[in-house]
Amino acid sequence: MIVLGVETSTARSSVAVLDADRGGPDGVVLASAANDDPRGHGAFLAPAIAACCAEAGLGVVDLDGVAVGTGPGLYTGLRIGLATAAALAWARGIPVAGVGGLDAVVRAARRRPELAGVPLVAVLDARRGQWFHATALPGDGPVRPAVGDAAAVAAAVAAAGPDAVAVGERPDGGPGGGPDGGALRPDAADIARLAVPALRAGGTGPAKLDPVYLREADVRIGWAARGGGRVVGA
Amino acid sequence: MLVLGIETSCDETAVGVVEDRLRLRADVVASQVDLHARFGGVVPEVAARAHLEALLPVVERALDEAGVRAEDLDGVAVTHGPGLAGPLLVGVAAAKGLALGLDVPLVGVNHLRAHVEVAQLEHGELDGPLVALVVSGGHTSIVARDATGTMREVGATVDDAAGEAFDKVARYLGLGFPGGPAIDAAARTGRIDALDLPRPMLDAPGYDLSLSGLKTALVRTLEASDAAGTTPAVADVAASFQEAVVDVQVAKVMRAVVDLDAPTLVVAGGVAANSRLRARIAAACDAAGVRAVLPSPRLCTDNGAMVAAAGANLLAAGVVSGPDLEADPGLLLATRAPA
Repeated sequence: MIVLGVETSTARSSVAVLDADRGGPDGVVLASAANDDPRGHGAFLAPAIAACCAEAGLGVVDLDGVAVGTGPGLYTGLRIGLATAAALAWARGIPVAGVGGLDAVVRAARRRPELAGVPLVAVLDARRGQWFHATALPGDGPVRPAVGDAAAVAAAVAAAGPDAVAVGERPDGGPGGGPDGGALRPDAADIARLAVPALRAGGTGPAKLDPVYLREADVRIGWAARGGGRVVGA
Repeated sequence: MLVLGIETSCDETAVGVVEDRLRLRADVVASQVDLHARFGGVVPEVAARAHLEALLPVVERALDEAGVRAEDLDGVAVTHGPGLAGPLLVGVAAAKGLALGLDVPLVGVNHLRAHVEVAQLEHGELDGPLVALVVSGGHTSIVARDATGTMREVGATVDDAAGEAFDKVARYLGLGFPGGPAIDAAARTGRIDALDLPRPMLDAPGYDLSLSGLKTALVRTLEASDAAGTTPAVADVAASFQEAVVDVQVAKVMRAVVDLDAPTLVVAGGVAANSRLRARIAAACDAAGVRAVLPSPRLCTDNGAMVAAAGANLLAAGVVSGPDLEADPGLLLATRAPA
């Protein structure tokens, strides 16, 4: 099964083409691309999908499934990934499945030997002083994301046990388990790997791909806040 | 040639299908107006979330209505500006996914151009030079297309769009959202000369116009009449305000028609559904010996068919977009129209 992975819910966007039938549980990444422009999701994604397919020696017609990060994350980026992935899968008539970004962070962190067997609190920047976070004990399935301030993250780490470690984008700027020792953000290849069982089972259908926002929409309208209404007499 | 058009620049999730540039095959609109009504205006984040949810089901309904399959499409067109950034991005991202998946060209379309060119679906080819008034909640623009097909904006509101002015005044009068239809309805039984309102920039040279001062003048006039105990009826207020807005637009666009010697005037955009504006434009064109092209109201408000029509024109002219097409909230009118 050839899976296209799409992840655009953080400041880092990525695309991967994964052969899930070879290379054991991790599969073989045939091609991948990433972009660190926090506002560049839209310009990056579609060309990267085309380029990754080409690099893998495949066409879009050869894809057997699409996996997409469903957040929580940056709303605009999240929607770009979901809209493109769902539309592409729908157009090709192939299964699509969503994977949480914090699950992808946990999956990546577990590859580091020192993080393989400890409780993890995966954290991603929610902006405006807020953080998306979720606790993962070794052997756990998908995590349950929450949103809160830095103190809430610290409390989650304390609650996860004395040897618990925060990974991802940490509020304290500490090492997040990333490749260079810094922040660790969800990657399209992990999104693809985590989606394989769901895709083999037929996926969720494009209309069932729900983004995880965790917060109500900001409803400020510039002019609406100004001036009160008035009802003119009969 | 079958082209699918996607429109998500504001609060309508809309998809249309057009065949051979001139034939409307499907036009499906999922309106979010109820979602935004309680805020008195369109909330971008609310709109973007709703677009993502609605888009693929609306695409499916449009294909169903057209009686075609996705693999029959020859191109996917999408509004990539001007409009609200978050909402635009959803449509553009989905269009890219469809174009990649179907292996057909992607065509980025300017929203204003689409509003003008939708007229070809009901009135046939829009040959030759024309002037267009594109008037909606987000735009009030006077556009000219010359004999070579070059399209440019020659005038625009310097402040509020007409629809925006209607929304603000309707909100002030307690008439609800969207304000255009509410004021149109309230004005039907009112006197157009009940209030003495200014006609801003009417005598200023050129084709720019201003509408925000009109709202301020209306508020001052009502405050004065309240103080004097002579509060006018809502119908009279709505009729007088609407007349002032229409007066300014008709004067400016007819000036452009005469100056540019255009044989055709197209009126488009959501506010082109306003009954008073339609009647006044028809009368002015009649007097000037100009062909007035007024799309039916359902094609005046934001829709996907207009994007499909404009996209089909571009595709037929060999103009396509790359997968790096970006949403551009401030997109200027494309300078070259297909011949």
